[in-house]
Amino acid sequence: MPPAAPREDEASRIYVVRLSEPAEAEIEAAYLRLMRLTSLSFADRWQDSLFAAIERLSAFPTSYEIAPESERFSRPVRRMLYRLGRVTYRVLFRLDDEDGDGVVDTVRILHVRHGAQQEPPPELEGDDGGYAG
Amino acid sequence: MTITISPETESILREEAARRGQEADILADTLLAEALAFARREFEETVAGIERGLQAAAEGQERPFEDYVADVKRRRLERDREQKAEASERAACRAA
Repeated sequence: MPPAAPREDEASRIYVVRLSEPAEAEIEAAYLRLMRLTSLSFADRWQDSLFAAIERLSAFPTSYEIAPESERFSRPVRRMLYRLGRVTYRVLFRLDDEDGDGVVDTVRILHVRHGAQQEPPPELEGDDGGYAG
Repeated sequence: MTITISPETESILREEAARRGQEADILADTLLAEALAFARREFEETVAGIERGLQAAAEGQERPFEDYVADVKRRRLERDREQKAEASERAACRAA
């Protein structure tokens, strides 16, 4: 009999957030692209807002929807849509039971992707970052 | 199959078809096929990205998010220090 999937329905808890190397590289690439297309200060601001949004995942990761791509995986992959002006980034993550006690305790960031993998327009400068849930 | 589109979309479609010298229904078919192909490609690329993340995590190629944030903040401090030093140097050169 296969092991039961870890429970995701716990009451409020703080999850550890771990970042995979590919996701880290994707954040770095997005930052550099924004810096090139807009400005250093705007890229810094974008990165700060993204960090704040990811940090919020440690409190309420189960409030984010299951990604459509999750159908290809044995365990749910969730997504946070992080919006900056008219451009959206998708943060794809999974909840894991790191210590094996049957309860999820870790948010694992797997992939960070531009909404449509197109270059964001330069007129983004000045827009406020936010996340779309 | 019959597809219902809004009057606004129909208006844009007819304008675009006229601009291209095409029939509106042929253009609609082309654009819909392109959009569906794009959506499928995005889906497959996202799946591949998730797989890369899972593989990396399985191989231990990951770290606490807070460590990455700390690294970024450190890099920025160094960058700001260098920029200030360069600005001071330039000011000193101008004053000399």
